[in-house]
Amino acid sequence: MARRLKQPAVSSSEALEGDVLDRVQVAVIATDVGGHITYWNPHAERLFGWTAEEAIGRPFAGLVGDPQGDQPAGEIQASVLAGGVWRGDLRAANRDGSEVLALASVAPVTRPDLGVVGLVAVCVDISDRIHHERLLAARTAVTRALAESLSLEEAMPRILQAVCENLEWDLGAVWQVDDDAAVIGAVDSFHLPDRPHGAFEEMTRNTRFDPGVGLPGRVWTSASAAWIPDVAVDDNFPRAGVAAAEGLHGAFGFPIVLAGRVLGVLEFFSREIRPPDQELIQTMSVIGSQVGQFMERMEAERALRASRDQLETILQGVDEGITVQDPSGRLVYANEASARLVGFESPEPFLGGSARVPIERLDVRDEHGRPFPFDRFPGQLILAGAGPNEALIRFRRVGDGQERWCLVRATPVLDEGGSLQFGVAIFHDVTDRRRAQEEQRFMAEASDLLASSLDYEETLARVARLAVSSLAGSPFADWCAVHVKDDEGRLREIAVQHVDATKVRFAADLQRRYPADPDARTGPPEVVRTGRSELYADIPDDLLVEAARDEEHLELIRSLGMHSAMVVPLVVGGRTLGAITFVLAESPRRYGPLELAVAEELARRAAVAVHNAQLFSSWQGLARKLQESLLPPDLPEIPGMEVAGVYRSGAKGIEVGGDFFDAFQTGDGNWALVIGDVCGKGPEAAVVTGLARHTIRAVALRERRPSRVLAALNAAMRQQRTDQTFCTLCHVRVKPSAAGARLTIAVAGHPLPVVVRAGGACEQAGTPGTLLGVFPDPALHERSVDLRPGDAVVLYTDGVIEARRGGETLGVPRLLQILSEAAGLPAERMAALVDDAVDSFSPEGPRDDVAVLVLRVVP
Amino acid sequence: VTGFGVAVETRPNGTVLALTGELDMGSASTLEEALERAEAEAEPGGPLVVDLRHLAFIDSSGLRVLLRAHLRAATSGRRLTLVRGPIEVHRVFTIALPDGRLSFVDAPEDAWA
Repeated sequence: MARRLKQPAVSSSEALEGDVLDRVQVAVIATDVGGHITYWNPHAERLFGWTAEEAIGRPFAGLVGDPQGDQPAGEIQASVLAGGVWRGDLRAANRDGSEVLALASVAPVTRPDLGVVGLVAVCVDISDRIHHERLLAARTAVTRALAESLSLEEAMPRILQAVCENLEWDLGAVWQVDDDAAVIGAVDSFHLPDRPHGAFEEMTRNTRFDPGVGLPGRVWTSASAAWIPDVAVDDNFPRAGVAAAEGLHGAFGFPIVLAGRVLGVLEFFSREIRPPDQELIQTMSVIGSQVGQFMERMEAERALRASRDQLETILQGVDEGITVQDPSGRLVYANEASARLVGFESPEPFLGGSARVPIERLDVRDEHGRPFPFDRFPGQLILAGAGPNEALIRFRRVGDGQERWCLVRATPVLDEGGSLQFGVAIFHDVTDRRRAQEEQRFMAEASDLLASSLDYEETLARVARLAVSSLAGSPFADWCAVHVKDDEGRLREIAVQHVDATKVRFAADLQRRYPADPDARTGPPEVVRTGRSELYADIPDDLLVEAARDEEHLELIRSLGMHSAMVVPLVVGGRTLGAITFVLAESPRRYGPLELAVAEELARRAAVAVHNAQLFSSWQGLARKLQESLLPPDLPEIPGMEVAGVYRSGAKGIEVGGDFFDAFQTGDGNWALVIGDVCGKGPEAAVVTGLARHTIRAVALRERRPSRVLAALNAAMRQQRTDQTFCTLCHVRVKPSAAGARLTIAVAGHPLPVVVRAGGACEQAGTPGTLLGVFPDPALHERSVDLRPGDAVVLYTDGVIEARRGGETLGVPRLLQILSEAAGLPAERMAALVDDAVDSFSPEGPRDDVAVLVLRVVP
Repeated sequence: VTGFGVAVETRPNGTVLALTGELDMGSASTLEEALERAEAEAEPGGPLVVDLRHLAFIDSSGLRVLLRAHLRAATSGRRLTLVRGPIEVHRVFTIALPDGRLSFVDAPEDAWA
C-alpha cells in the first residue's frame, strides 16, 4: 500500500498519485493477465507514439516489443506474468518508426485474492529527454489548480487560464455533459485579458449541442480530441459565423474522460490558423483525464475510490522507488518500493520529515566507492534549484547489509509561476545489472587466468589476486585464501591475498603461527570435508571467540576487522580438491546469496582448471609412455659390430619432443640405422614417430637407397598430415664388408652423423638435406663412408648439440672433441659418454629430448 | 632463461617482426599469433620480414612456425623474408633446410633491395 501524509503536506493528496504517474517522465503501462494493455499513461504515449486509445486492448508484446531488442517483449511478458520481475534495457520502435530506448522495469500486478492479474511496466526514456517547458508549465498549472481547488467551479477558470496563458490560445471554454437531457452545455469560459471576444463567448455560454454537433458535440461523441485548423471553413461548426466575425480560426477540443466516459469537453480558440499539434493534443488528453478524475472526485466518491484503487495497485506494483519532496525538503510521498529498496519495511516513519533521515542511515557511495554526500542527491539538487538530473549511487541496504546500486533520477515539478512545487525522485535499482556486468568481467578475467597456466597452484594464486583487485573500484573480496588438499589429504594454504599487499605477510604469519585446525567444524577443513559452502553474511564476535586458539590469536583475528565471509569448495567430479575463502573487512559490504553464487561458480571453474591440469599431466605421461614404447626394446645383434643407443626425454619441457631411433636388418643381409626427431607436441608427435619408424622399416625392405626411403617417408607424411608437423631424420644403410662396413648416409634436416675413427679422428659425414613432411620435393643426397675395425659412426639428435649452459650451446665442435676422446671405446661406452657430456654441460638438465645411436665395427 | 618477444613495426612498404629471446615450445604460439595478426593486418601481398638478429635460441617448434608462415606466404603470393640470426640460430636453418628454401637477408632493409 502506498502511504502518504495526511495534512498539511498536500492539500489534495489524492491528485498526487495521478500527478506522479503523469509527471515523472516514466511510461507506465499496465496489462491484464492476457498481456492486453489496460493502462497506458501519457508518457507511454509520448515514448511509443501510440495514444492510449490505440494502445489499450492491444497486446503488450506487439506494441512495445521489438525483435531487435535484447529480449523479445513476449518473453519478458511471459516471465513477468509467471510472477518474475524483469529489468533491463528495452528497445522498441516508436509508432513513427524512430527508435525508443528505455530503461524498463516490468513487474507483476497481484491482488491478494486473485494472484497475478496483469503486469505493470515502467519505462524511463533514456534517450536525450526533450523538454517541453510550455507544456509542462501548462500541465503544472492545471495540476496545481486541481490540487488547490475544492470544486469544479473553482478549478475550471484556473485551468482555462493556465492553458490559454501558457499555450497562447485566445479563448477557452469548458462544457459539461448533461446525461439526463443528452446535451452538452458550456459551464465556464475564459479569454486572455487583451483578447476579448464578447459575442462569441456570449453565444458559447448560451448554446447547447446535441451529440455529434459542433466541436463539443463531436468530441463528446468520439471521446477523443478534435482539431480544426480553421473554424471558418469547417462544415460542422455552427458558431462559425460569430467566430469569423471576431477573427477566430484555429480551434481544438478534447474530452474530459473518466474510465472511458466523457464527462465534459474543453475547447480552445486562436486567431491563428493552427495545424494540428499532436504533442499538444496528447498533453491535453492528460489534462482531460486529470480533469476527469477531478470531476469524478467531486461527483462520485465511490467511483473515485475505484480509480484510486487502480492507481494504488499500479503504484504498488511499480518496482521503482518513487519519492516526492516539498520545497522545504520534507518527504511528502514515498511508495513502498522506495522503502523496500533501502531495506525499510515501510516509508511511513519517514514521511513528513527530512529525506536526510533515511538516507543517512545508509552508507551511500558513488560508483567508485567514494562517500556520496546527501547534498549531492538528485532530489536535493532539485531543491537547490537544479533541473532534472540523475546519479548512480550504491549503498548498503539496511537489514541484510546487501550492497545495492541505484540510478536516481529527479525531476522538479514547478507551479505556474515557475517556482518549485515538488521534487520527484525515482529510484531505479540497477544492482542486478551492475552485478551481472561485474560478475561477467570477474569471471572472464578469472577464466582467462585459469586457462593461462597449467601450474594450478600458480593459477589459484592468481585467482586469489584477482579476487582482491579491480572490479570497478570494488574488489570481490578484501581477503582471499586458497587451501588445497595434498596427496595425504592434509589441507595446505597455497595462496593468500589481501587488497592491501602489506597485510598479506601479516596473514601469512598468522597462518604459520596458527595453522588451520584440521578438525575445525567451520571454515576450509569443514567445507572440504562436506563439500558444502559456508556463508557468513555477518561475523559476530562470538564466532571469532570460538575460532580463536588463545587470547593473542583472538586479538590478532579481531584486528583483521572481518565482518563478512564465505568459504566455497573446489569440487570437480564429486571430488573436493580444496576450498577458497573470501573475506570482507575494509569494504562496507556484506556477502549474500548472490555473491555466494558467484564464488561457487568461480570455485567450480577453478576446480575444473585444476582437474584439467592434472589430466594434462597424465596425458603427458601417456604420451611419454607411447614415446618410450616406440623405442626399440632391444637393438639387434649385428655380427662383427656393436650397436648402442641412449634416449633421454627432456626433463623440463611439458611437451615431449619426438626423438626416436631404430636399427634393423633390411633383408638383403644389410642393416639400417635410423635416428629422427619429430617436431610437435606430446601424443601428436608420438603418432608421427610411429608413422616414421614403420614407414622406414617397410620401405627399406624393398628400397635400398636411403635417400629414396626418406623421399617415400616424406610423401607418406605429407599425405597423412597437413599441419606442417615435420620430422628430421638421418638414415644410414650399413653393408658389412670384409674390411669393416660401408655406410650410405642420407640426411633430411638433421644434424650430420659423426664418424669416429679408431685413432681419434672425427668428422661429420653426409650431405645436409631438407627436412621431411613439408615440401613436396625435399633435396636429399647420399654419401658413402667406409668404416674399418674400431671405427664408429655416431647418430644423434639436436638435443645433444643444443644442450645449453647460459647463452652457450654444446655445439658440434665440442661434440667432436668429446667423441675424439671417446675413440676406441665400445659403442655402449661411447653413447654413455655423450649422454654424460650433455648432462654435465647443462646442469639444469636438457630441455629437449636427447637421443644417441652408435655403431662400431668390432676392432 | 630470457623471455621471448616480438616487436611489430609497420613500415610503408611492409611489416617487420623483430624477435628477441628464445623461440621454443613455450613461445612458438606467441610468434604464430603475431605472424597471423600481421598477415591479417598487412595489405594483401604486402611483404613480411622476420628479423632473427636478436633471437638467442630457436628450436624445432619455432622453426615449424616460420615454415608454416613461409607456406602461407607462398600460397597467398606474399614475400616472407627472414633476417639472418646469430650463428647458433642460423645453424638450425642450415641443418633443417640446407637448400635455401627460406630467403634470408642480412638486414631488414635488404628485404626490399
